[in-house]
Amino acid sequence: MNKENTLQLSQEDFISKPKAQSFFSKYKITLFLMTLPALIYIVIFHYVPIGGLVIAFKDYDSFSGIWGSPWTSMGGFQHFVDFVNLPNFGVILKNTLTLSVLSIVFNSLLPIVFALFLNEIRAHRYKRFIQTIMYAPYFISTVVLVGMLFAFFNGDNGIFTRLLRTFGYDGGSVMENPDYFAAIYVISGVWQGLGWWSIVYMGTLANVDPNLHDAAIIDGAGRLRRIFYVNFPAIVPLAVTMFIMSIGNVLNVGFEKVWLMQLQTNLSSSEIISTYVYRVSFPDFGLPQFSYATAIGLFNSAINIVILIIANKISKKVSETSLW
Amino acid sequence: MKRKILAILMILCTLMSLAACGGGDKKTYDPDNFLPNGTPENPYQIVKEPVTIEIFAPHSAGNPDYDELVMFKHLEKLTNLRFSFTTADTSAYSNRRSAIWNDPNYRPDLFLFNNAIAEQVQFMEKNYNAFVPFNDASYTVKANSTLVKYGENLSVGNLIDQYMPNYKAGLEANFGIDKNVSDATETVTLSNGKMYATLSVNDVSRDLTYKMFINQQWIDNLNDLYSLKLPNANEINTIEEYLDVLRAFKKYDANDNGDPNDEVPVTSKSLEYLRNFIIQSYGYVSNTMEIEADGSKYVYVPSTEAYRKYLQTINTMWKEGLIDNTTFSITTDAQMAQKGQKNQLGSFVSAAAYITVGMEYEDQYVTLAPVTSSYYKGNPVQLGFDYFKPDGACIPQTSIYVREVARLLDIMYSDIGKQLISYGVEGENFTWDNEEKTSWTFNVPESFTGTQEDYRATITPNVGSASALYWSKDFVEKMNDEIITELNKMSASYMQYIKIPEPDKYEFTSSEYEKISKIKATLDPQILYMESCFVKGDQNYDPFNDADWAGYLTSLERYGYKDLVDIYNSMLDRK
Repeated sequence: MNKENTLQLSQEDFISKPKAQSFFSKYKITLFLMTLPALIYIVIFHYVPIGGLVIAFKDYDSFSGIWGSPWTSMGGFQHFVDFVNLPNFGVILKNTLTLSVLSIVFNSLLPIVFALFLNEIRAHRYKRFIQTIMYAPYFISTVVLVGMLFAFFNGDNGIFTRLLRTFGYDGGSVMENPDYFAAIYVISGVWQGLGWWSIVYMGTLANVDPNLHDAAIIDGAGRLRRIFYVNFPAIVPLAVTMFIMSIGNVLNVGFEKVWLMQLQTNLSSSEIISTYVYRVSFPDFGLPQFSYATAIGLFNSAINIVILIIANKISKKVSETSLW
Repeated sequence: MKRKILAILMILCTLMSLAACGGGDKKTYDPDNFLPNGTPENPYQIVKEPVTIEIFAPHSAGNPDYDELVMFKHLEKLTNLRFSFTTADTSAYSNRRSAIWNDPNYRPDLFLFNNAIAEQVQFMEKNYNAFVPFNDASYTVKANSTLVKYGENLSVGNLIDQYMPNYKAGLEANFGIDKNVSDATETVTLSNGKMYATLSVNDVSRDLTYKMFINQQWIDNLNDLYSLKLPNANEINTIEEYLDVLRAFKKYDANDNGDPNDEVPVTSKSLEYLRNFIIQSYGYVSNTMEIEADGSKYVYVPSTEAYRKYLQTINTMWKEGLIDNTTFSITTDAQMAQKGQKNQLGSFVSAAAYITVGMEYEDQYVTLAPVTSSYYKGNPVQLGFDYFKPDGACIPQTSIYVREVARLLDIMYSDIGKQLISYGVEGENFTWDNEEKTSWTFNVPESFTGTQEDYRATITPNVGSASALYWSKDFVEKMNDEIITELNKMSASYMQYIKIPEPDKYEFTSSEYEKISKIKATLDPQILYMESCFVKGDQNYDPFNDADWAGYLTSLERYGYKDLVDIYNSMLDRK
């Protein structure tokens, strides 16, 4: 009987009828609600604090708070004008840009070169060994790194000082010399980050289609040609993206390392925007200049954004790779 | 269905966590719980039933939490108060403190230590009524303030007169310090006549100036072995004589170890205090703003001829190899100690000789008194730090426990308070050596593995931050320790030469404070840089060359030193 009934089902019975959708499923409300905590977190901790930037245009005092403090003179731009009019504004900006540009150039290019060559090593154990040795320094803290630099360049018996003396150098510690500050800063940075930053390129190179190499070999390409015409183009988009992102931080030279390396003898090269901000934020005399320090930070960010947009546009035109 | 439940749970969690950020209950206050004079059994008791005092204070990283410190535990026992601490690492202190004023849920009853005078002036000028005046007879705690539920206004009157007898006696006696040298009441009173903070008092000689050491043993060696006629350390009266001794240290085998080339005549951390020692011989004691000896005006020392003389002297020392060639790279005591512990140092600046040279060579060194020069033949002067700072403790006006905190602070200025802040509890942490109480011994338990200072850090917040309401020589200098006693004696003998370059009794306006800190943020590093160039005699930085000196002065002007001088002197004119 049952069997008969089943056979009697019409085709219409197999067409699903539209069900009455609940409010939740109709607008996917559940999914939106799931993202709510993350959204609230981002709004509270990442967007609301942006409002605090308004103190750059005010004479902030802690009792009146952000909104109660009075606006500063010159239409709120007094602190910006003060900063630009500093007697050593040019020197601070030049030092910041020097360290930043050199770091970006070397930290962007050398990991690519290193990754390309490392990729050519066929002995896997040796390759892994080199890779480990190269990225180990990344885990050394900045304080320890700078301590090592001072020890190696000690004016009396530092290992590098003795080495330099074999080449005729007769001065004291090069850490004290403003002429070498940028070089030491950049080279030690490259030494510390080379292996680490090359990992990302190594990952991309591992995914290059072997057929491309086979085709290139058939065409008679040697190793160097394959590096230039097969491997290199594969990592260009990633390299450009990384480069543009670092350009966006051109004025944000890390404070910690420069501050630790700073000596009174190398101040002409080591005073940068962030160390100056630290001085006005934590003065020996008077009160912290929160508004002034914020104005300098905002000035920094504004220039960074402009440079980022320009770099992105140039990149879009030249290499057809861009962030947006 | 499961998804819906999950979503609703998520919303509830979010809402609950947001609600947790909301305000708490208001405190209630029972005025009869306060004991103005303690009890017959315990005069230090402040309240009948325990109440919690919220304290905001700076804290040195690495030191134990304040609620673990012997000092505060003992104070809780004595007073029957309970303390709840909010501390900020000294590097983040300004930021944390700044945020407090706009936090509706937290307002301390006491800001302990580091109450910047600039902040007090700013709040006074703007009539913020932020801090309780300690000397205002009409002061009233407002009923039903933001955080406190209490029926009526509570008139507390002049706190110093009514509840702070120890502090009052200290102010009246100027804490035993000559008023001409430093005036306690003037230092802590703002221009409107009110005292919004209590004083930090320090009259311990060894902590009121720096100490320059010289190796007397080396002088003896040179006089004996090479028949030189070098003056003893206590006979060195001029900078020229000092340089001659250093030259002998350099030339001969002063440490008598068979190597005449391993002696370093003088070293320092960068030029810290070495510069002061040399500048002193030319009549000033600092390398920034300094008041003239007669108090008539301020000068910017690096713009003076005396400073040029200092640069010429130190340049000569550098060229002759008398200064450690690693001086500018030395930033810690430990770095300096590397040579000190090999008996290679002739002269150096340190808190105590044993820190730099270790116990083995400690007894070779004696302190060096300030010297004069052929240029400056007046009375010797020595850099000194002020006895009084108006930054001890502040009570915010939102606190209802004003009387309780005033009594607590007063205890910190009493004998027991002086002991607690320095070396702890009598009979436990230290014991008197005799009935006359002329000396005491610090009891570091044998089982304690760290240093003496590490142990002291378990007792008091003074370690690392040097914070103290009263760092008193009456107690601190009585420590039974041969080295410390000798240091005290030597330092005390220099007190007659002390000059305080910027006395803390002078108060600027808040806009002046702002201008000064902005100018100094660029001028101070520039001065240090140019000083190092002059020391090394870099191109265009020859202190003997008039054109180089003129160029340097022009550069100083560009960095605004004249504005600084104007601000200081216009402040002085108002007094």
